[in-house]
Amino acid sequence: MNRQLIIDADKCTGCGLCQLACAIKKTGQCEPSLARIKIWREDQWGLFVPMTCLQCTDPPCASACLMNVISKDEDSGLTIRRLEGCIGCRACQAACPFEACNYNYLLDVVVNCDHCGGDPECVKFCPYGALQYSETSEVVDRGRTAEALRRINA
Amino acid sequence: MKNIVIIGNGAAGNSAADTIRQHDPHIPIIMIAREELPEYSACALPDCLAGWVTRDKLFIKKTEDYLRMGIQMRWGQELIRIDADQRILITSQETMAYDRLILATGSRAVIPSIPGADLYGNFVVKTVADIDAIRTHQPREVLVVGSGNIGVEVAEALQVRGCQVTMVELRERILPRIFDEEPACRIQQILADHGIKVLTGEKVLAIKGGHGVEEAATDKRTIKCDTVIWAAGVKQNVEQAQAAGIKIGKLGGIQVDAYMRTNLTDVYACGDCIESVDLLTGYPSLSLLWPNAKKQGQVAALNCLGQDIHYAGAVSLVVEDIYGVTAVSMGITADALADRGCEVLEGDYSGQYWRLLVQDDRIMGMQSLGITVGLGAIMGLMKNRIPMGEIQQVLADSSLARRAAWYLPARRFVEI
Repeated sequence: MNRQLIIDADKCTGCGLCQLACAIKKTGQCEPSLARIKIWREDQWGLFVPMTCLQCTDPPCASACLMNVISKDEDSGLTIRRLEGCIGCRACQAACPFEACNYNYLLDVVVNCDHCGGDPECVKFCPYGALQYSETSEVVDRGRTAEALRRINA
Repeated sequence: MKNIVIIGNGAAGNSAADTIRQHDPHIPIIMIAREELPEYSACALPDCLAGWVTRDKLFIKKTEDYLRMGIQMRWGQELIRIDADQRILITSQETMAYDRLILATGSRAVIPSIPGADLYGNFVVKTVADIDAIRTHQPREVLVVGSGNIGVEVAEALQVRGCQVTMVELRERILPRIFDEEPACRIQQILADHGIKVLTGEKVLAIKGGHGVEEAATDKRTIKCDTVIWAAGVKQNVEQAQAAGIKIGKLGGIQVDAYMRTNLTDVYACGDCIESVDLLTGYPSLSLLWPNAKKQGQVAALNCLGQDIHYAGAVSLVVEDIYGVTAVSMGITADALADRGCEVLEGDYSGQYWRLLVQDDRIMGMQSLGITVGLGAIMGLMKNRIPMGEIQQVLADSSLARRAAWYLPARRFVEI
């Protein structure tokens, strides 16, 4: 079973370390806008949601791509890109429901999370455990239990 | 099944071939195509004309890819006749039997039959050969007829290359099928600011010249030009299909059901040549866009292989770069919703403009300028037909929003 990047928004404080870690590892620049993970901020609720590529089974970005550079890797299940073919048209960005396509203005291409080849940098730097890299079943169970408890207590 | 024959080497044809190969490594696939080139992205042709994309980069596949996939290439052949009773195809070079047939014959750009339209210097932008011809011609003063996405992109591309560009549109505003009046006017202003002369509500009546194009006469004036680019619409390539008894719809495309089947057994069709339904309205539509063609190719291929796959319908998504401003249109325009009217939610600040069209509590379309964040969220909510009431309910409740975080980027567009 492939491991997934699991996001627990309840634990996220919006510190932004994941974005910096990603940008530095992937581009060498200390610039959050170049990160492939983004924290969506809802300040009025103190809600911070890290958003990144969810590696959809039938990705809308791949359908939207005008150059057919996006595909699913059969072994890893990841959504991968043949970047030498990308013309930076940003159609994938407009098709992705999760804000997970990041336009890299340095290279004029659009990229998405690739789990850093199985060792995601953002996970290593998250101080609160909001990002985990593990098998899904375990985490889903935990989430379900927590939500069920919340509904019973409500 | 003995073989599958695909007619067409564009987005739909290749998507069908790829899908068949993914699911069945052995079945013989024969691909008939007019052009002797591997698959390329027709969407990037204007970018190639501008010089932003090299000619090499247009190509999505290499000839070796077809060999590796075991696709028998019958390129440089024209389809002459389909004999559905005998299950035989006659092309300009051979006769072959088919077991299953996928028509992905596409569309062609239309040059109206007006005087002078056959003079040297008249071009369309549909194929790599067109681009090559335009580059060889070395245009200086260009008239672009039509202002759809191709017209606008080509106008910008040639202006960037140093040409004097005039664009003529028959309707009262540019991009009439893709943008509503307000965003279209803003785009027109951007084009004008960069020196493209835009003439709307004007009709080209004749092209004049001796050996080549010298000027164009419209109903209002004469325009000096050495090149005319026709971007005034396309016509579906359906003649051979029609002759074979395949039903053609009211809009001029091959009529297919939700499984991409035509009225003839074992004959499927997909891509620009068909008439599908619009996902949002349920009305017949000619989608003519790359992503829809790819999806239809997949659906046709899977049904051809005996799976039972339903096509939900076409949704339009157009992303344009107008001199650095990202212009996006998704779904339907207000014009197309005019029969029953729609509510418009608009926003405009610091160089960003958007409008959201809502009908019967459902998002039916969105157009934006200068915006790249949050569009995908709207696209998702629109495609899934989520009622506006529900979207607003989720966005008002932090615990719901927490569990449906993909609603959040849509907030700024849907809040009233």
